[in-house]
Amino acid sequence: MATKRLMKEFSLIKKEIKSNPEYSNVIFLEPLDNLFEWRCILKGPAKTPFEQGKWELSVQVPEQYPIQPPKLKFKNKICHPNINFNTGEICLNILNQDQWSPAWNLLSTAVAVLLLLQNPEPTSPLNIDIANILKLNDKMAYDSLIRYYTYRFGNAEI
Amino acid sequence: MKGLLKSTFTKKKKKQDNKYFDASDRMDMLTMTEDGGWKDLGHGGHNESSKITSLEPQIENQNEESKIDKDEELDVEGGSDFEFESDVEFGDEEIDDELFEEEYRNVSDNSEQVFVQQESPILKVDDGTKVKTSLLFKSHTTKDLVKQMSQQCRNLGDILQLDEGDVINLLQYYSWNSDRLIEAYVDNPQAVKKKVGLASSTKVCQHKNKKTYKNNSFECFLCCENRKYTYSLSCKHEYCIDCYKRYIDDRLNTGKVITCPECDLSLTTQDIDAISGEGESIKLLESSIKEYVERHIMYKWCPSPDCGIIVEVSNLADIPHLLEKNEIPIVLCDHGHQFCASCLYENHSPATCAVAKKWVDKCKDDSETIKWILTNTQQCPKCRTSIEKNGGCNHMTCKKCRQEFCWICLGEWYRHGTSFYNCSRYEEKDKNVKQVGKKKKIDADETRESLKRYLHYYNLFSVHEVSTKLDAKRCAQVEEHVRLLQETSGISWIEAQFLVESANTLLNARRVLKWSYALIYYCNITRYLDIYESIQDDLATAVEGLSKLFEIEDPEEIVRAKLDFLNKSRFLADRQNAMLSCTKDLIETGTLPTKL
Repeated sequence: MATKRLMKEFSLIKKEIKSNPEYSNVIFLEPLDNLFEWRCILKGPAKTPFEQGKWELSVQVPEQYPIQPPKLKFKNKICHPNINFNTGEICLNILNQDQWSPAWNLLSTAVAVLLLLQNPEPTSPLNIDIANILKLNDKMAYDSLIRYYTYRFGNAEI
Repeated sequence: MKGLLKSTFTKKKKKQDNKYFDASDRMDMLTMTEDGGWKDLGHGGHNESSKITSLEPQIENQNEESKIDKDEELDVEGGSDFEFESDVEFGDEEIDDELFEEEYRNVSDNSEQVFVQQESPILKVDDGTKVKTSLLFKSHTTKDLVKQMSQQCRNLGDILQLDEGDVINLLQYYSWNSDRLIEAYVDNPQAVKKKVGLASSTKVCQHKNKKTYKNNSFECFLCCENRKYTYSLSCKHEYCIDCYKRYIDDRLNTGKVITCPECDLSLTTQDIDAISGEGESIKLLESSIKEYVERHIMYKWCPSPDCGIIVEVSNLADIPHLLEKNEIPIVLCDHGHQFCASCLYENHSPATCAVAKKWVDKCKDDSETIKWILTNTQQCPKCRTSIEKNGGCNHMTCKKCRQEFCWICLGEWYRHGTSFYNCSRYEEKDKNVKQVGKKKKIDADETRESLKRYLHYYNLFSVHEVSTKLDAKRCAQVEEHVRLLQETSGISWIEAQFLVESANTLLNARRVLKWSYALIYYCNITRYLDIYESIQDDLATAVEGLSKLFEIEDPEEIVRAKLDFLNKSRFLADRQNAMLSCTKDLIETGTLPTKL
């Protein structure tokens, strides 16, 4: 079941990424050697401290996809309140079983991660330090710290 | 020999042989008693006639404490004083039935029911020990509760003028808090419906949910295959029925409202039944039980692993009063597990709830490593081989050097066998600290001493916890052996029941012993503690005695050892009750102050 759906998604993604400006920050989203492991590269959204950064994500698709959500993980380090700095784990509600809906697809999930970069949620942090800075509303510290880490680690290549 | 003759039954009955044994002489005495008498006494009489049980002489001796025990001839008075009433002839059924009925009606009525309804009833536990409780409670299986829940949904549906399926969704959304639901719904029904995702006008919309396409012409959005049968809600989001089924199966056990994959419209039980097959929607209720039980505090899950019984306590308000009196609100689930309704641990008597809670918290703090080392291995005191305990009994024999030793104190076993069992006693080390103002050193010593004290009792506690598990395993094995024996030789089911009862006695006593170590840790060191400890020692000896018997594996030998089983489990039950009542006395009179 998942295979056919993933094939279809793949063909759709190729078209969409090129044509639709909504997906301009998803630079790359293709399966590796099989359809259940994908590689994704995201560009930091403009007008955020993540601008200019490029991050690679690994996408693990379960057998039961799309009933069950894919697992996404950042491969290179990123400094963000809802992303574990060391493991790259992402705290995003739609990636949980409860909130996931089969109506989502891999591309929309990638976009959801991009939206998370723009709209961090400091109340459920995986990176407590940067979340505290955000909570204290120290915009300058938050931005500059992230910019540093973006410059330092946000350089994935296609 | 000492003992109290509390029977005045002889008035009615011509002759009764009442034998009384002193507790300390007992083990020897019992083995000397003739076979027949004991067999009859213990278990032959168990179901030959229920009237046999009436033989317990209780007419004039009706003080509140000695409650009549329907199945047991034996009654233990508080403290360490023991009486044995035995050899009442069971064949004799001429004892006044009237009298029996008057005296025992309540008891026999009561023991048939699960719902304990008397003012201060005695819980019958199948090993013959008694548990006092003043709680009213009732066991439910998950199925009962599902029925109750759907009944509640129907009732609420009548009130709110809604379908049962809709009400289930509403309740799930409101975590089964019906008050909150009614409040919100009365306030603004449309908003609530929208929030939960109910179709706002179900009756008007005659939407056809199930569709059939010719030539598999429908392409499902989820699996991208061409399909014939589809399903959709009134939102017209249509998917193939297989995908829908998978989607529902995946979510049925979350206990949450299932919505359409694309929008917030919720699936009702009718939809689920239509998609997944009749009766599937019941799973939705089953998965909500957890939340339901959490929401309603009168329901308590039985804490035993994989038990799944829910006990409903009807006089919840009495629990604080019980706790004030240092009583433990024990309830009994239908599978025979006793647990405390206040802290939801296993029955932790003699330790009070406060002690049990502190103890469990304390044990949690300590690192897993200490736990593992303490509980799982010891070195043979002679050859230093690491030994892992594989049986319940604390009498160990090293496979390598044949050294026999005690698992608790690592001392040679023969010391335990003949004289006192005192290895569970905590010896305070003589502190030869010079008085010359070295307070710091004393403090450090005290800390170390207190840690050592804790480890000592923790060790004992966990040894018995592990032993309980091993015992349970072994008991199950032994029962299996006997079942085999029943099939091959002609031993009846009744005759083999002594094993089950002994096993229960053993497990219960071990539990009491275990928690008594937790209690003693929190006790101040006074001279009363010595009394307590000696009773504890006696209990420990009795436990090991019975546990040892369960190591017999040959079924025929087990049957031969029946007498031994009976004697030792009877003795053990006595010791256990002595322990419990002694603790209670000590706590109540304040002679055993607990430092909490």
